[in-house]
Amino acid sequence: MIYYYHCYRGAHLSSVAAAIHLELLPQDPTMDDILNLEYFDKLQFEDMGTPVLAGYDEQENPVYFVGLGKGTKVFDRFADSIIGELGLDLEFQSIDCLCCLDVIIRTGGFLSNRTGFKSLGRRLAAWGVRRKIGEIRTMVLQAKGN
Amino acid sequence: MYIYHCYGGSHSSVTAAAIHVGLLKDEIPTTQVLMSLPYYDTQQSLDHGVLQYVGRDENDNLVFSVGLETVAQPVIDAIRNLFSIAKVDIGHVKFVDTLSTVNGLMKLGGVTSRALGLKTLGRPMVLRGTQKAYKDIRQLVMKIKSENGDVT
Repeated sequence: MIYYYHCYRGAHLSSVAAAIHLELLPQDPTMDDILNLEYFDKLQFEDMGTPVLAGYDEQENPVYFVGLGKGTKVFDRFADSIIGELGLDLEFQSIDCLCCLDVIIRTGGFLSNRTGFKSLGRRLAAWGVRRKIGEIRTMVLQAKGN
Repeated sequence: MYIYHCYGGSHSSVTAAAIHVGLLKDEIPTTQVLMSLPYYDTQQSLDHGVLQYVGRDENDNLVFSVGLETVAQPVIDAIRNLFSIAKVDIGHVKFVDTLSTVNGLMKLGGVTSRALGLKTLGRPMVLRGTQKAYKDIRQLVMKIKSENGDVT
């Protein structure tokens, strides 16, 4: 099974979801745990559409995260559609992480991309993600089928 | 396989796919002919991303239209990367963006008819716009069909 966690830029929600999937975060992570994740707040707009391999889970499934801009919903329908039309036998799961997005993460993400506000934005996004960690974990567990 | 895509998968991509499979010829189609095309001016936002089968061309290639809003590039890149990761050979798939052929009348009519749901007002505009853009759309399709072997 290939897991594709996706959000707007691939910088915050989807990278944290992939880390939770790979059990790289403790049950109740601190802000520093989140900020110290290898891929937190790394991907930029120009990286959209390029999946990043976060690692392999306990069943050796590859886990990716990717930024899709405003295309998260369109991507899910397009992936289902093209895989169906091509008749591919592809074990693939696409997980839209934007369901966990709130105004704090959104503002943090916006600021972290602006010169002079990068540090503030990163911390704000990490704080927002920490507040939503329960929802993100539930989403990941559903994706893994646990 | 050819996949023509535009914003909503309702007008320019549908017209281009219809030209590709031979449903439309050289002459500018009448409004009745355009309205009779599969999927013309029928798509809703929930249909965006879903491939619409239009037909097969003379070389037996499947031809589709689809609405990819303004996110065609990341969505197509992510799909191509997925197939590459999965080591799946999908054969020849050519994505063709038809947005370059869309004129102001098509945009205005398309938004009025599809997004606002005002068909009576928007449909005549988008039909007229499609007729005005027809030569450009046809030229794009002919260029794509002449690029033998240029499939990605």
